[in-house]
Amino acid sequence: MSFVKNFLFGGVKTSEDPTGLTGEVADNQTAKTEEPIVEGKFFPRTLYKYNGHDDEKIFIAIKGKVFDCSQGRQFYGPSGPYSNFAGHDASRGLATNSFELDTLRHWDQPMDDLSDLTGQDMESLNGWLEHFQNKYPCIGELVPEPGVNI
Amino acid sequence: MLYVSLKLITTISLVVVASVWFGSKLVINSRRDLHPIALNGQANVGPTRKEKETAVYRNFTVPPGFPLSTGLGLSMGYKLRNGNFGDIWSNIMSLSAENFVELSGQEYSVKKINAISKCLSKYVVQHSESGRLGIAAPIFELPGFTISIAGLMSSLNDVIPVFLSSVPRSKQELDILAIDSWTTFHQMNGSHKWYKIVIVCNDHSGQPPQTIPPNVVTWKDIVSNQEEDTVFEYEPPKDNSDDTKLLAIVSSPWNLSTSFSHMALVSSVSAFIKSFPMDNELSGKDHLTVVIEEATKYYYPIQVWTKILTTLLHGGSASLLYAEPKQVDLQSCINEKTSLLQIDSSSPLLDSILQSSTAVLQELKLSWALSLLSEGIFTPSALSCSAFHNIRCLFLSTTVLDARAVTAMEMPSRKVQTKAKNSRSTLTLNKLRALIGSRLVVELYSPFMVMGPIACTNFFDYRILPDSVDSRLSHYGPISTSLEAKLVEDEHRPELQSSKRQGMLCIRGFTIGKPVEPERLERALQIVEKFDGGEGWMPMLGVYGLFGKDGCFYEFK
Repeated sequence: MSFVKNFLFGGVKTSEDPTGLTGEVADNQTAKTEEPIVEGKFFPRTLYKYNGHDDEKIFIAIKGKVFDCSQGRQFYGPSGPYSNFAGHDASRGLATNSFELDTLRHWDQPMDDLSDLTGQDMESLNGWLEHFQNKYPCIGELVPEPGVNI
Repeated sequence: MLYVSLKLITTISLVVVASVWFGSKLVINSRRDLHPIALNGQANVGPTRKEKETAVYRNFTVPPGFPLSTGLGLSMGYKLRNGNFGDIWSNIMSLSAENFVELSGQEYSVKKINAISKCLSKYVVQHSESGRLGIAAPIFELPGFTISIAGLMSSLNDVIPVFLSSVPRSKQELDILAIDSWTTFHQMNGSHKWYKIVIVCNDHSGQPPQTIPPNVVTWKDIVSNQEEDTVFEYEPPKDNSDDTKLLAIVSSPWNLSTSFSHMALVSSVSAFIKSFPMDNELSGKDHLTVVIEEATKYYYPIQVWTKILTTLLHGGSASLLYAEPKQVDLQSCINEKTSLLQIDSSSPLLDSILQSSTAVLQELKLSWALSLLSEGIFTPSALSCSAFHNIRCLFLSTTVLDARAVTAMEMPSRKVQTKAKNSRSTLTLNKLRALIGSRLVVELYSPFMVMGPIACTNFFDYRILPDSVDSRLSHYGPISTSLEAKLVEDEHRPELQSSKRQGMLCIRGFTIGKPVEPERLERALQIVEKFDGGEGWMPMLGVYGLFGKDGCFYEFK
């Protein structure tokens, strides 16, 4: 009825505050919008969430660097050929060219130090790292969580 | 009898109220130009942000991963190239059947302007050794306008036009200087000897000296008897090197110079073209009028080209109008064909429209129009003057709070920081929409550092913000499609938090100019390094604001 009142008696509709300065929420829908993630340190536990399924975004760690691979959803997203890598440290899988689950560590296991990889595997892994660096934004680093991974 | 009348009145009142309510529910939703959901999501926001920074914001039409508006996308074999002034002007000439440019109230065909500019360009290229042409003549008069176009043409032949805010008082690296009149020539007090050639644009203004020095010529001497010319031939080199050449240098009133490349021009043109929504695109029917005033005449010599060239590129016409301070109203001075009008946001000519006394019926129409606009429905029903009936968009240009600080790459002093910005409220903007009967776009410029606007409001955004927001912030809409932006926390305003999307503005894109002075360039590089250097972000020193949840940029007043 506010429009009727405004139209008949002169008045205007004021929109909700989109800036958040007044403390009012702009809109139910936008209020629910998730804030951008702060780039920085990720633990295997916090990285796991970004597997394209629990969260729309897809983050993958390689050699301690975390990449935002959301643009490559067709590869790393649910039902994609490399979906196992999403939300994980994919270093061993990429180095050994294996997409099996046993190349990945669970979030509550110690982090993979890759010490048993051969020179050829490391070379292959470095090639993948370069590929990811050129293609996807690096958004932080993967570090072990005290009390969980170390 | 009284009972029957009361019953009738009550019934009619109820029917009217019910109809209007029904209308408001059904009709308003279907008649809105833009749905509130679209208004609440006008930018693409990056998924991540760095510590003490906001995420990267881009215009909604350029999603992350897609290139920004970088140019005209012209084909060169199987590749695409961005283009340059030569491409723009040659295409303007191919559409130059009837369009014209109005200068000082007189219409000149684009063909005539082309002929004069080509003649001047040839003269400039022949006589310039160091490759610098200084222009201190007003661009809203034919000589100044054609010399500017000639300068832009010559930039493809390595002669750089330098748009000066005044005649230089010290010797500068300029071969040729264009000045407005003999009066200015006398004021130069012998400094004409610094230049190889001095061109006096208006030989009717002031008395020529008894003996005209050999290095002084008049504009008329150079361009005498030029007929119309429909051809401007431009063939891009195979290595595409023209696109990266310098287009022009602009000198600010603070004696700081910034250079812009052809890439900046084409990016800015491309962004302007894309800013028009579907079914409202630029066309050959458009007539752009740019109102230049005393307060804005310093930055228009570089900022005016984006809109003028884009309009001519679509086959439209343009007017450059200098409004004297004594000018009292807008309607008496603009061309009645005007469909796009650019004017400074604080222009007193707009105040005269807002303050004009109106009849009761007009007040009623204005009230209804404001109600409808605030609901998102555009109506020209409260048009205040028939001179505005062709206007379809009004561009209100505003500059950042401290344009000097941004240009000088220096943090503004505390005194300047506390100076409040006087921008128009969103309710006043809707009043202007209603009284002029057109859409309105507010543009934010950093006039001596960025070509074209940094941000501009949506064509269909008629929202009225709460007073608490209007009193503290100026709304500028999403970032232009040629730029991307983020806000960073800064020690000078520690109360602004990046987690609340607040901070100092940093931009990245191809429309940004480069400082000419080596020490300023060095300072700029140091500052850029401080704010996430290496990724090409340019901090806009002293420009503090926030990104709303709607993706728009709001600058603190």
